[in-house]
Amino acid sequence: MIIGIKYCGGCNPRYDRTGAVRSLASAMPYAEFRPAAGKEDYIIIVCGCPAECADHSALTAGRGKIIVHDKEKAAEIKEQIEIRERKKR
Amino acid sequence: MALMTGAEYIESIRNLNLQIYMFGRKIDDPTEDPILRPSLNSVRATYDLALMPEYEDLMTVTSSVTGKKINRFTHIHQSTDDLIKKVKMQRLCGQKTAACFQRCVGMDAFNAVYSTTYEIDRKYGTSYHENFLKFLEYSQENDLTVDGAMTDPKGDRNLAPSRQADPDLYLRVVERRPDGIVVRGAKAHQTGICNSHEVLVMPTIAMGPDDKDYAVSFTVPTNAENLFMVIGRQSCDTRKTEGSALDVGNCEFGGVEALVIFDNVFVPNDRIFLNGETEFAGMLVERFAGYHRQSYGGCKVGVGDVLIGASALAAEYNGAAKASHIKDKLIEMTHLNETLYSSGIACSAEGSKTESGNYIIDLLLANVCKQNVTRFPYEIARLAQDIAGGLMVTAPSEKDLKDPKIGPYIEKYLAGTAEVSTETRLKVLRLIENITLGTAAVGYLTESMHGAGSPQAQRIMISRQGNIEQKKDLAKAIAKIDK
Ligand SMILES: Cc1cc2nc3c(=O)[nH]c(=O)nc-3n(C[C@H](O)[C@H](O)[C@H](O)COP(=O)(O)OP(=O)(O)OC[C@H]3O[C@@H](n4cnc5c(N)ncnc54)[C@H](O)[C@@H]3O)c2cc1C
Repeated sequence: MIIGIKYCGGCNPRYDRTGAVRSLASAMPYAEFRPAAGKEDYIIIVCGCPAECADHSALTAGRGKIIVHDKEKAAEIKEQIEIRERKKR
Repeated sequence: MALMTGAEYIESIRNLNLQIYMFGRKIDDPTEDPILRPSLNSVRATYDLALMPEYEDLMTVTSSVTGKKINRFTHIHQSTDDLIKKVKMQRLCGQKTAACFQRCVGMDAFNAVYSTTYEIDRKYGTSYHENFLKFLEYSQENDLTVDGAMTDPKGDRNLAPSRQADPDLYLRVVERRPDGIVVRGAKAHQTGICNSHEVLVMPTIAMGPDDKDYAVSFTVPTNAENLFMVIGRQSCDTRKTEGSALDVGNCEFGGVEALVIFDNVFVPNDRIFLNGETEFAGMLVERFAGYHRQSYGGCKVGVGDVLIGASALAAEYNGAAKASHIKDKLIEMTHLNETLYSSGIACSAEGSKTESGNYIIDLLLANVCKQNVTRFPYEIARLAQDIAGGLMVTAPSEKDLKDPKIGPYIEKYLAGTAEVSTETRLKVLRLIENITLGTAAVGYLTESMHGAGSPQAQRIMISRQGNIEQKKDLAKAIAKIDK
């Protein structure tokens, strides 16, 4: 599974965005993580606050996009992907 | 090469071989000078951040000219969203450098010249806009840093440019040739000029018909013949030559200004954006000042973020963090800082399209933003100094701290809480000193006061844009006054 990461610009993030992605990557060692280019299975839009201003309009993902803007939501990404994968099967 | 790396940027500045004077001598390699290098690092940060995935959404954008990915500092705003992202980008850069990163004057000049040249051409059939578009594309393609040069020395403030005792006190055209013009004069307080590839010159004030030679706008490379700069001194600047990272407070980043002298500089025709059309000088000044007043609602907020963080650490390190008045002071600092940000965002969100198609901020709100900036950083700095305690200005040097005989006494007597070393405590106090009265106070305080115009300049704009007549009508309607 390939996961693309798209960050917001990070002007005033309320949590450690890159740290959250690092935790996710270590929790999903079977997935390949890379900067989102628009051809990944999932694209995670990692925003620092509820404004969610990251521009991801040009990015399309094979199986879906997930937008997060806080630590709690970021911690649930793996679970969300697993739910979506189960539904597909 | 639409995006340069930080290292490429530094090399590109080194290769310019600029004519820079400081302390009465010409600097051989400004990129390696210990006083100037931190300011170069601040501009470098605008290149480095653009290449980092976690910041590129603010730092880069698709060019409206070439369709390529470019640094936002060279962008022409295409929407209110662009204006908002500009402010957010500036806050980010302020957070990462705790200093003036210098590159916004050029961006603000670009956007003001873009729309003004379009309107001049429509009236006079000139080709200034086309000239500017060519220069814009060149800047975007080469990811250039451009100095926005507006402020003339101005001599007697009570006299128009053409009435000054010395006619060169405002920059002017001294010769018109078939292939271009020759200009003479100076621009004062130029932020980042010694770290820029090009200088974009604009007039300082609105002008009358007698000031034709002074109504001039153009660009030349910063290494143009007969152009040289003299660096402005900053409080505590020579500490940077002493080799102590601790004593300077911020050893990596800084800001810089210089007096730039144009001693008969030739400008080719295709680099001219205004040449004698006096009635457009005021429009250009007003638009540049408006964008620049918006800018301060981002950059100063980012530096404020660092100062608030440093104050909170200082309180933690001396054991006062739990005191209710300290907590309240940190809340007040945050409130003031976010109020600045609010007006930066508000004037952007309320922006509108110009005739040329680019977006301009709401001028009333941008002036309100800058008026707040002339005050709130001073109050934030006052609160930071309150929380820091006197040691921020009386602490001994790093050499004393590291001295085998004296050092242990300093460790012992300047300790704060047991969990934190004295050196760590001194690091954060030096940072507060740097921002509130050292080299970075030039950018955080005095530039907040005068940059983009002194406070009175905003009050004039607020009175012009304030719409008092409509407010009187509102009051009359409620009070049932007929006329
Ligand atoms: C750190 C810093 C960075 C800067 N960077 C740039 C830059 O990159 N590019 C650029 O172009 N400029 C830059 N500036 C210049 C800035 O725009 C000017 O400082 C500002 O416009 C005020 O001009 P001045 O400094 O000459 O002040 P002065 O004109 O000397 O003003 C001093 C006082 O006199 C008052 N005054 C002046 N003229 C009049 C008048 N006619 N009538 C009544 N009162 C008057 C002012 O309101 C003020 O209170 C920078 C300034 C600073 C401090």
